[in-house]
Formats: sequence, C-alpha cells, structure tokens
Amino acid sequence: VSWIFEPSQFIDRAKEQELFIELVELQDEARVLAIRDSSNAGKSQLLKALRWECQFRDPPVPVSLVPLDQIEHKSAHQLVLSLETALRNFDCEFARFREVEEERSGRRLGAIGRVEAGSISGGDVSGVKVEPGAVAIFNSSGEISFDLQEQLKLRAVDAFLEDLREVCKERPVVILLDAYEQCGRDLEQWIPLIFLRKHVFDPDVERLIVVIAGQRVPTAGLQKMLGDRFERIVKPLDSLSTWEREHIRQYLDLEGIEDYDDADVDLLYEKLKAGLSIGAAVAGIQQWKRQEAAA
Amino acid sequence: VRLGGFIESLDQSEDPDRALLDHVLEEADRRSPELAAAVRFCALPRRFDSEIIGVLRGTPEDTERNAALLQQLLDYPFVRVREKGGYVYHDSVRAQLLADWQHDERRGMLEDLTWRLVRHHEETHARAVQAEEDAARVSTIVQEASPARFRQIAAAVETGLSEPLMEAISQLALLSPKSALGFLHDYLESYLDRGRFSTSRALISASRDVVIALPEGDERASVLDWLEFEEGLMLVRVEQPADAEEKLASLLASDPSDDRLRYWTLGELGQAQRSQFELREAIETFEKEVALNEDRQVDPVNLPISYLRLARTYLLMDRPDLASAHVATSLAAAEESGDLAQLLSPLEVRAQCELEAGRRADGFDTTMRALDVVRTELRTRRAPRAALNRLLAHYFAGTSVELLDTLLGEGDALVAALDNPLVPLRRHVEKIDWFLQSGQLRRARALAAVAESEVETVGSDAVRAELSYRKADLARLEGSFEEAAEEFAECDAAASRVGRADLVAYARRGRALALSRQGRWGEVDDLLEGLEQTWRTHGHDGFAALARAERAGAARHRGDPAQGDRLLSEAGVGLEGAGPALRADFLRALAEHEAACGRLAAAGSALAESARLSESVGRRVPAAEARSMLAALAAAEGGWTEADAEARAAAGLLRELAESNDYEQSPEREAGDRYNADGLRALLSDDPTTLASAIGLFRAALEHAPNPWYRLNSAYAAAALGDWGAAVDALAEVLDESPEMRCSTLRRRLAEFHVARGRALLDGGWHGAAADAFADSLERLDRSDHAEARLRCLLGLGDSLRLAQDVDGSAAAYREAEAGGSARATLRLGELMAEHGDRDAAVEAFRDAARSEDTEVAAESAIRLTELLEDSPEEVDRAVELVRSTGGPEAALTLGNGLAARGRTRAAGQVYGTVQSELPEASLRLGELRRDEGDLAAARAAFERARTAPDRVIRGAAAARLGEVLRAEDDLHGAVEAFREAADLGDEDAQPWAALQLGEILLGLGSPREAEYWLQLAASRDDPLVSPRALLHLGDLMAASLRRSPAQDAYRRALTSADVEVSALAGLRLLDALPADAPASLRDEIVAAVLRSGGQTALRLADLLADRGDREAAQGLLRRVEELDDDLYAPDAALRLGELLVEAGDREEARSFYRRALESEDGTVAPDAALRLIDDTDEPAEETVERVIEFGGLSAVRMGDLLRERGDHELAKRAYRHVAGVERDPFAPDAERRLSDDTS
Repeated sequence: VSWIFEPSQFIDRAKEQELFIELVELQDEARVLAIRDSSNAGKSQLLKALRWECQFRDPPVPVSLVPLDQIEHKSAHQLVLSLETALRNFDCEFARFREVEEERSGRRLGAIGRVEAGSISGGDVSGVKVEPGAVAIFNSSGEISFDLQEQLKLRAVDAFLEDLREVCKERPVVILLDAYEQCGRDLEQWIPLIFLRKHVFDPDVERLIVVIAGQRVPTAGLQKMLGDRFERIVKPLDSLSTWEREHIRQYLDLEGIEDYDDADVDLLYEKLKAGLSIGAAVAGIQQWKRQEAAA
Repeated sequence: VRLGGFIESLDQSEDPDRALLDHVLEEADRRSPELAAAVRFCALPRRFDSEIIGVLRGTPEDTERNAALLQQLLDYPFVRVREKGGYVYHDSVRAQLLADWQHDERRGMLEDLTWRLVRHHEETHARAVQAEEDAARVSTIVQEASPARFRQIAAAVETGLSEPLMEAISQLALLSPKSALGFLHDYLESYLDRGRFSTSRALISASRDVVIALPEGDERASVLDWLEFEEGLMLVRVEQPADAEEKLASLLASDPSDDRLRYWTLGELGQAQRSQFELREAIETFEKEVALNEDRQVDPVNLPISYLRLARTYLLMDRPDLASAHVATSLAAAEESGDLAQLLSPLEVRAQCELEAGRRADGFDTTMRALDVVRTELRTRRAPRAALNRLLAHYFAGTSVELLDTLLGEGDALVAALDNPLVPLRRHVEKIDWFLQSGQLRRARALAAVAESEVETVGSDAVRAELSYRKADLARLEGSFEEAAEEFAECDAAASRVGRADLVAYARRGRALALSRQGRWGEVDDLLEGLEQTWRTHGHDGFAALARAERAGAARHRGDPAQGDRLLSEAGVGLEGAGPALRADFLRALAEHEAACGRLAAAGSALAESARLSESVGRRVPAAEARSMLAALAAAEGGWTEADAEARAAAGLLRELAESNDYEQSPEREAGDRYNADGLRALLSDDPTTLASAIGLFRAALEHAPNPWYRLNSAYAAAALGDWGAAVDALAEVLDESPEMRCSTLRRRLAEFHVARGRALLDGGWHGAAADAFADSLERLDRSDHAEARLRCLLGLGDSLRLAQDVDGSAAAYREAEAGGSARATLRLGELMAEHGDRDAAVEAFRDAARSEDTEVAAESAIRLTELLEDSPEEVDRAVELVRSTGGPEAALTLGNGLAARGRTRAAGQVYGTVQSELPEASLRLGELRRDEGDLAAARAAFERARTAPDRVIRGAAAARLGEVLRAEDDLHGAVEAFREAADLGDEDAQPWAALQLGEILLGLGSPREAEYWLQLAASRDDPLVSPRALLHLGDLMAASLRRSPAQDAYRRALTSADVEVSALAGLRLLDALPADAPASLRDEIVAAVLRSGGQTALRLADLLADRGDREAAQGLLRRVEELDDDLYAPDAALRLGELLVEAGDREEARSFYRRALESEDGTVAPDAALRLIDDTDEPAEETVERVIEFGGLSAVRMGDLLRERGDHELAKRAYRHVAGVERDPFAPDAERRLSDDTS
C-alpha cells in the first residue's frame, strides 16, 4: 500500500474527472462538486485521483484532501490546520494564519503548569462536586486561557479564510472533503454555513473549488441557501458511474489475473450494472485471486 | 471455482458483503490462526499499525512478527491508509467484524483486548503529559530560536494529549457507552479541575461523536444526556453562563429519568444563573437541588455543597442572615464527614457572612480556623490558601496597611506562575479594590494606570469593564464627580458588552450617586427608577429598595418632599434583613432627607446608626462622612459636646485614611515581605526538605521587619517540622505582642503546640524534659481559656513523672486533672495505684473510669479491671456490662479491641462474640483475631459473617480480609473473587489494598494482563502503603515482558515514594537494569534520582548493595550522601562508609569517615562513631569518648548508654555527669535519672 495515489491502479471515472476538470479550469460558474454514493462505491479513490490530477497539472493546482472521518477534533480549527498543511506545499502563503497560530501555540505551552484543582476543597475527590468559590482569579489560568485559546482558534480560522481568499486571487485552489457524513456536529454547521456560504459562494472569491463526497452530502441545504444560483454553482452527483467491460478487463490485467474469460467479464459487468459496488467487486476479485493462489 | 462463479456465489448469498468477509476469514484461518486473529482484532482500533498489533497480541516487544503481520494485513483490499499515518479497515468491513465481537462467546476476549488498547492509550497519554511539561520547560528558548519549530512542538503536544484519550474512549464505547462515559468523566474531572478547557471540550465532543454512532438504546440515551451535562458544566467553568444555562435548562426540560443527573444538572444550572446575576432563578434552582437530594437521598455526599451554593447566592443578595443559616447546615454536614478538606468551603463562606454582617472579629477567627486546617493538614495546597488570602486581604484592608502589603505579597506568591497575561491583570484589579478599601488612593491610581495600559495590550473586554468600575470609584473617592460619572457610564457600556449584569447595575448606581453630587437630579431619578426595576428583575430586593430610597433626593429637589417620605418609607420595608453596608447607605439617604426637611433629630439618629454600621464592616470613608455630618448637625443645634465628639471620631477615621494614603512601604518591610513570600513558596513544595528553608526565610523576614504574620508563619512551619519548642515560642509571642492577631483559633492552636511539645519529648523517652515542658505549659496556659489543653498537659505531666518514678508528683498531677473532669486521669490514677500495690484503690478508680462516656477510656479501664480481678469469663462479662451501661455496644467493641491489642485474645474473642449480633464490625475483628491465632477456618467463618453487614465499607473490609485468609490457605481463585468484591465495595483504604493483592495473586497465577490492570489501579490511588509496592510490581512485570521504558517509568515513580524500602528496591532495579557497558553518566543519573528521593532511601539502598556484596557500589552511594553534607543523613553515611572501608581493609580512610561522623555532633551517630574509632582504628578510648561527652545533650547521654552497655560504668557516669545539672540542657533530667538508677 502506498501513501501516494498510484494513477496506474485507478480505472476509469472519466465522467467524474471531466466534470472536475471543468471546475478546475473555471469554465463556468460551478465551484462545488457534491458526490453522494453508498459505502464502497470508490469515492475515496476518486478523490485521491482528483488530488493527483491537481498535483500534476501544469502549473500545479494547490489542493488539499481531508478525509473528515480521520481528523482528530472535528472542529473548524482542526480542519483548517489540515488544509493549511497541505496547501503550504504549493507555496501558498498563509501569513495571517501562521501569526495567530504562533501566538496560540505560545500561549498554550506557556499556560502549562501544575495548576491545582480549582476549588477551595480541591477537586481531587472523585464524584464530589466542586464549589469554585472565590478562588477563580488564582486558578483561573485555564479558564482565561480557554477564552484566549478559543478566541485564538476562531481568529486562526478567520485568518486562514482571509489568507485563502488572497491566495485565490492569484490561482485556483481545490479543497476535497471526503466522508462528509462523519464530519461531526460542529463541522456539519460550519462547512455549509460559514465556509461555503461566506467564502466559496462569495462572488468575490473566484477561484476556490470544493469537492464534497460522502454517503450523505448537504445538497438540499445548499439548494435552499442558493436558490436559483444552485444549478449554476453546485454540480451534484448522486452516484458514481460504474465500469464498462473494458474497465473490468483493465483491472483484471492490472491484478495480473490471467485465468478469466469473456463470460467472467460479462457476469461481472452485469453484476455492476445491477448495483454491485466497484469496491465489493474488487474485494471479491482479490479474494478469489488469493484463494486460487492458496489452492 | 472460476472467477465468475465465485462472484456469482457471493452475489446470490443473502448478504454478499458478509459472505465475502467469511471467505476472507476462512482463508485467513487456513493460512495461519495468528493472521486470522489479527484480521479480527485489527477491526477494534480506529487506527492501527505494527505497534498496535503488538499491543493487541500482548507482545509489543516482538516487533519483527508484528511488522510481518501488518504486511500480511495490508494485502487485504479493505485496509485503508489513513492520511496521517496508520491504517484502518473500510467502514463496512469494520462494522461487520465489530458486530462479531459483540457475540457472547467473544465478549470476554473483547474486554481483554479493549483494556489492552485502553492501557496503551493511557500510557501514551501519560508520556504526552510528560512531554508537555518538558516542552513547557524549554518553550521560551525554542520560541525565540525557532518559532516554526515551536509551533510544531506545540501542535504535537496538543494532539498528543487528547488523541490517546479519544482513542481510549472510542475503544471503551465498544464495550458499553457507560464504560466510555466513566473513563471520560475521570479524565474530564482532572482536566476541568486543572483548567484545561480546550482539551475538555475536545474530549466531550469526541465522546459524543462516538456515542452517537452506537446503536440506539437506553444506555446510549442516558450517556448522551450525561454528555450534555458535562458540556454544560464545562461552559459554567469557562464563564459562558448564558450558553451553559441554555444547554442545562434544555436538558432538564427533556425530563431525564436519572435522578442523579437531574440533581447535578440543577446545581450547575443554578451556578449559570447566579453568574448572570439571575439571583431569584438561581435560588429557586438551588432550592430544587437541595429538595431533590433531601427527599430522595440522591447524592448525600454532595448535600453540603448544595447548601453552600444557596448561601453564596444569598451573600450576593446582601442577605448574610439567610446565607449564614445555609452555611451552618453545610458546615455541620462537612464536620460530620470527618474530611477536613470538606470544611474549607463552608468555613470560607461563613467567614464572608460574618465579615459582611459586621462581625469582623468572628470573620477573622473563622478565616484563621480555615487557614489553620490548611496549615496543619493541607500544607502544600495552593488553592485554599489563595481563597483565604483574599479574605484576609479584605480584612486587613480595613485595619492595617502593613499587614495588607504582607498578604498581597503572599497572594502574589500563590498565583500560579503561568504565562497568562490575564492572571496578573485580574490580580491588579483585585489589588486596586483593596487599596481603595484601605484608603490608599495614591497607590490605587498608580496601579490603575499600569492595569489600563496592560488591558489594552491583552484586549480583554471583561477586565476592561472591571477596571473601569474601579477607576470610576477612585474618581468618586477623590471627589471628581464629573469624571466618575463618565467613567461609570463607560463601565456600564463595557459591562453590557460582556454580559455582566451585576456590574452594569453597580455602575449605574455609582453614576447616579456621582450625578447627584453634581445636582443633576433629573438624570439621577431616571437612572434610579430604571435601576430599581433592574434590581428587582435580578431578585436583589435590597438594592432595589436602596435605589428607591435614593430617589428621595430627586423628589425633594423636584419640590416634592412628601414623595421622598413615601419612597423612603417603602424602601425601609424592603431592606429588612439586608446587610450592614446596604442599611448604612439607606440610613444615609434617610438622614439627608430628614435633615433637608428640617427633622434634625431623626436625621441625627439615622446618621449615628449609619456610621456605626459602616464601621462594623470596615467602611471608613462613609463612616467618616456620616460622623462629620453628625457633628455639623449637633453643632447647628448647639450640641457642642456631641459635635466635638463626632468631629473627633470623624477626624480619627480621616487621619487613619490620610495615613494610609501617605503610607509608603519601607525597603526593610519590602524585603521582609519578599522573604516571607519566598517562605510561603517553600512551604508549598512537596519536598519535605524545603520546610527547613521556609523557616529560615521567615526568620530572615523577621530580621528585616517585625511583623506578627511572619512570626505566625514561622510558628506553623516549625510545628510542621516537629520543632514544637520553637512553634510554642513563636506563636506565644504573636499572641502576646500583637493584639490584632488574638483570636480563639490561634489560642487553641497554641495550646495544641504546648501539648504536642511535651508529648513529643515523652514519646522520645525523655521523661525529665517532658515533665519540664508540661510544667512550663501549665504555667503559661490560661486556666479558663485552655481548660481542655491544661487537662492534657496535666495528664502528660503525670505520665512523665510516673515514668521518672516520681509517684507523688505524678499522682498530684493526675488528681488535678481528675478534678478538672478527666476520666482518663482516673484511669491513670488507677494504674499508678495498681503499680504500687494499692489494689483496692486501683479497682475503685478503674470502676469509676469504666463508666465514663469516653468509650476508649471506659474500655481501657474495663481491661484494667479484668487484669486486676480474676481473668475469668464471668469477669469479662461483668466488664462488658459495665462499659455498655454508658457507652453501648460500641464501647464493648472498643473494649474488645483494647483486649486484642494487649494480646488477651481469649477475652477479646469473648467480647466480640457478645456483641457481634449487634455490630457486624465485631465479626470482622473476631475474624482478625482468629486469623492471627492461626485458626483460618474460624477466621473465614467470621469474615463470611461480616461480609453480610449492611455497611458497605465493613463488607468491603471483610471481603479483603477473607481474600487474605484464602490467599494464605492457597485458595488463590477464591482469594481473587474476594478481593474483586473488596475492590468493588471497599473504602479508599480497602480498595487500593485489594487491587494490590489482586495484582500480586494474578501475577502468580500467570495472568499478567489482568494483574497489570489491578496494579495500575493500585498504583494510581496514591495510597502510600499500596501505590509504591504496586509500582514496583508493575516495573517487574513490564521488565519481564521486555517493556523496558514503562518498566523504568514505574521504577522511577516507585523511587520517589515515601516507603524507603520500596524506594530503595526501585533504585536497585534501575541500577540492575543498566547494561554492563552503560556509560557512567546513566548510573550517575540514577544515583542522583535516588538522592533526590531522600537520604534515607540512599542509605537503605547502600545497605542492600552491601548486603549482596556489591561493596564498591555501596561505598560510591554513601560517598555521595556524605558529600551532600546534609545534617540529617551525612553523619550516618560517614559512619556506614567507615564500616565498609574497615571491611575492605582500608582503616586509614575509615578513620577519616568515622571522625567526620563523630564531629557531626549528631546525637544518634557520634557515640557509635566514637566506639568504632576505638574498636576499628585503635584510637585512644578515653580521649575519643571525652570528645563526644563534650558535645553534651543527647550525644553525651547516648554515649553514656553505650558505654554502660559495654560495662564501662565509670566512663558512662562521667558522660551523664557532664549533662546532669546543666540548666539549659533539655537532656539533663534524663542524665540525672540514669545517674540515680546507677546509684540505686
């Protein structure tokens, strides 16, 4: 398994890729691609392919792929941290963001100390309520640093968005968000209401492209939010295209499987047409291959 | 099978995904069971790699095989690479495998694997905590050197802290949502208490995501409710009360079925309401909270806290009377709990009530009582000291600017040294308050300027509003009413912005008063009218009434004095029960009105009362103003004498204020305060060696400036060190020289010091010195004030003289104590008589004492009686009846315990047998008795009986004892079962002990995993008897499974324990774990750690090394201890080093160490060193002994004792004579007694 997407192992999805390239090339007003499909349909693989597409264009298009199920804290701040880390590799400048983050890091580490329990009786008795009483000032460093921390995190998010807008004035930027259905309560609000509405859909921000993929995507909400503009700005894809016979053959060849014939391909093709997911088909083929090898 | 056929068969199965997975698993089973197991267990974590595979296999050290298994897993198409490292199964496959794990037959395995992962994540978390502390230590340097690197470290630390906990939570959720909640709650409590709110928030949110993803069910719903509560609680703590209120109120509205959850939610909701100054709502909520707990006993432990919340709210409403009643309930419950720490909050609030009710002396005494608890029982705890420091600063602001400065210095030392700009800023604001209260306007102004510039830099709106209020108040006190009115308006605006409803209201009142001084009555009336409504909305009836009263001025200036009369009369009703400050202000408004209306007599009496009330709460400015007005009123009516008296009183107050304002701290006082604050810092350290330095610092402070507070600190520090003589002298001087410090707490404490001084000498075997000390105490302790302590001193004197064979003196002391009502003295008299053959008198005395209400005395007396009389079962029965007559079955139990402690097991067993049907504890004791006699079967039966007790703690203890018996009988599985029950039921003593036993037994049974779990639990409980042993076992366990790093961690933690044996063994293990070719620096580092954990540990480790023949290492260690030149251990080290060198044949070097030991003048070492010099190195005997005798004191007396043991009576006598008769030598009486013994 490689960390880097290997395009030779990626079969087809031409339709989705074409749609995506139209977006990246800013051929029309569309800025958001919303891909919804069931588990195992190959969404994650497709997003990796789209990232590869951006990375190896000439000139490269700054791109960041974030599987939302894998970020540690499901918060806007954590998301922008992930985005910034990836976009920085494309020489995008996030000066404001980094300034706030440096301040935040400094405060955070500075605030470390063996702070005693915040109550006069101590909070160290398990299951006993604590009465903060009059000691707030002395032990409230955390409370205060929480205020500061949270404020600084909000400021960092704002600074990132501001920086991102600046970057987008110069070049297109692509953000790929995978596993949207697992993004958590906070991001479920933040992504459509703040990020998309105030930035991606802002007519002043011209070159910011977002792909959202998941078993569930916020298409209905966006439709309500955008009204007539929805058709122009958002490209919804309610299921991924499936493989043709040639793609099946390509895949079997890629796997080094020689012991197959047209009947096998036909059968697989029919199954895919009837709703078998590509992921399941691939898993089945690999398992068959493993069993054959063992036998 | 052809490919097509295979796919077809999958597709035609009922569940194709499942069918495919079954193929995978079957095929893996065929290939290798190990791989098949890995395929199944790698579904459990949300992220895995070869390390996690090692954890799950229980073979973290087998890195090669773990990596190979990972490689095999990566062949499967459902394994996904995670963006940030590691792997995870595809969702659908993971879900199916997780469902398999929930089957009953796999459940046990699931639990085992889950706990392996949880332990692993906890270890990772612990390492992150350490890394965070390390990073913090170097943060400044790194930040300067490379901001980018710093940011990288900070981000890593941040993720490192929360991620392992989130992983552990998600693992536990697979067992049950409640397991996850319990785990979250433990960590959350610690994070919230430490103010780590960002991490707390992340943990709560991650837990919610995990639990929401679980299948629906009652437990899931209940856990989600608790998570809502946790979030609400966190919002309360981070001062976001409006959000907290919304969340908690909506949780309550959903009517959760869990009473405990409702109770806790009500408590936090009330806090959120109180923070927003919604006092009426808060009171209603807290009353519901109390009622729920009282009615249904939902959580009795926390009932005192609920009452305290009511009290604090009433204090905010300026109703100290109502607050006091609730505090009293809270205090009584806390006292009953027996936990001294629980007393502190109620005492703090009671002190506030007393201070606000104008009972300043009581308030001071209560504060000192709470501080006394902290100083004697919780010395190193910062938070309670900080809270009490604020109360004391408030108190001294009204009495002494010097002591206020001292307390402010201490307060600064108590503020945790954190790089958080808001902490010093808020502290500035507090100090401005105290400067204003003490009349130090000049210093207040200067500090306000500093704070103002800092607030701009930090940019905190909340503090800006607070500061603005103080600036306005300062302007008002300086008479700049225009500036004050403007500043109050700014404060109003700033406070509104940050939602501080209380501050908004206070600012508006301040503005109204400032405007009234400018005659802007129209604006005043508008403001006060609105304000009255605001106060009423908040539920603060007192302030609403005051606003109404203050509107009288405006009415009068409108030409409507009748309305003024009406407003004042209505307001008076609303102020019933209000505190003195409010009433003083009301009376002032009333007086102004009466005077303006020409009713001078009424005005005069209102002013007099107003002045008195203001003085009672230390408000000197309004008091001075009232008295000046009173003087003017009296003068206007020709009452010259009264006018003169009032003018003088006003002048006195103004002079005090003027002196305060002009006060400048001298360099000596400043230095003194600095030393004192450093002393306090030293006191807060966990390291016992800093106590001595604290005393030194307090003394240095006293050398710079005389100050009763420094002396008080030195008294308590001396007591903590066991130097009771110094403690008595220092505290006595404080009370003699400083009237302002005289309070009942300190007087009581002085009496305790006196008793402790004598007892310490008595316990040390120095009877003569003890008798002198008790006699001295009796002379110094007041008869009426310290009656109880005097009784104890008399008993101590009697005991000392009795041991010194002074029968008459002893009897006289006991008789005096007996006359004072001490039943123990009667008992002692009986003992004395029995010793001297007066059997009848002794029997009579014991009979009297056996009827005492003091169950211990009664039991002891009954034992004596049975000793004197025939030791027959009938006699024992009579003794039982005697003590039962006043003390009930508990006294009989105590009698049994006393008999058992004296080894009279037959009689004890009889007593226990008599009462065991009434007191299950007697069965427990009976079991212990039988166990000690070796009758394990009888012990087991008794413990089984005690195990059915209704009291959970007794049940837990019985289970623990039963476990011990079963372990001794080699029924290890039975023991495990019993200890598990003990671990579940036992109190905080039984639980860790049971966990340790479980760990030890399971280790023996070959279940290292579960053993590790229990040992971890035992180690985490901070029980000094259990935790070090558990850590040592843990270290051994981990070392055996080649987990070197955690093993080392465990040994290092064990090394710091107070248990010298364990600590030394841990040091030995650490040294043994070093590879043969380890660099010397590693060994040095371990030796340094051993030395840090204490000289005694180092000495014991040296013994261990020497005992196993590793003399060189032992010598090396002893040399290091000796080099430390520490009075306590260096002499001992020198002595032992000498002995080792003699064994090694190096007599010359040994001589030099023996000499050093001798010259240390250490009473317990020097005499031995002298004998060693004589015996081992042929030093001239007489000369060497003479040298020690010259030291006098303990050295000489012990030298005499050693010589006497060797049969050298002449030299021994010379030693005793050298000390006997030396007036100042505390050991003189002991030397004299030895001389007289020798003579007789």
